[in-house]
Amino acid sequence: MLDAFSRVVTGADSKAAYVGGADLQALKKFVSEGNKRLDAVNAIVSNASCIVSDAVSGMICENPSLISPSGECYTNRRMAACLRDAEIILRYVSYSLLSGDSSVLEDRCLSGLKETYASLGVPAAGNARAVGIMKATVVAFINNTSNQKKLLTPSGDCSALASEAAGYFDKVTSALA
Amino acid sequence: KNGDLRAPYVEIFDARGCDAKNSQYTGPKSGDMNDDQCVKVSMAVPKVSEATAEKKRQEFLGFKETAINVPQIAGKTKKY
Repeated sequence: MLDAFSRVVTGADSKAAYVGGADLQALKKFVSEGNKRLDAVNAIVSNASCIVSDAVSGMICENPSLISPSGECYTNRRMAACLRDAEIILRYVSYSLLSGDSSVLEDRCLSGLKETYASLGVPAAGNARAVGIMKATVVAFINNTSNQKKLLTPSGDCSALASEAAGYFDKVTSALA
Repeated sequence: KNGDLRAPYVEIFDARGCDAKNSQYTGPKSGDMNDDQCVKVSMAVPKVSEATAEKKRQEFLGFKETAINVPQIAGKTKKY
């Protein structure tokens, strides 16, 4: 499990080289734009419950059969598991954004996730849609383009962070496909 | 037993400019504004009770469209 720093050090170590050049510049940028990153993570974790609820509600209203009898979210227990799983994914993505590396997400969350869901009969399409909605919401929060948003955010270009977060969600979608 | 269901909870504390001082960080102090800032990551099990799930389900039943800010599919966008 790595973060932005340990990944660079491990890479340099494997090549028996010093950290320098583009790697060092990337780390300098990571530090200099740390406040942006913290604001982005804070925007996600402060609104985690709403982001998860929106994602699950969107998934269900686009596919109401999920809450019909025999649907995968029909019982309260299944609905609770759905909300819990969406929150777990969102929390791992927020941590990946904080650390600047997706290895924790991949090792602790995505590894074997597809097989687990397949064995439980959880439909992949619904999962992918919920993750897609979370991605859109998080990108809107980070870029400060979210409609009707009440949270005050300092202005600044956070498009790189939004792209990074979107990339982590894409990894989740790929792992579920 | 629920180890696999744990998730990292990130909490960001910033007490700069506040009367209440940061009490989350207990390590060595640097003597500057960094003492008022702290990032805490803890592993915890997300808990969603069946009562909460029931409330959410009832709420979702009233929605006819997808969340705002989300690219629509099937021409649906949730209204608040």
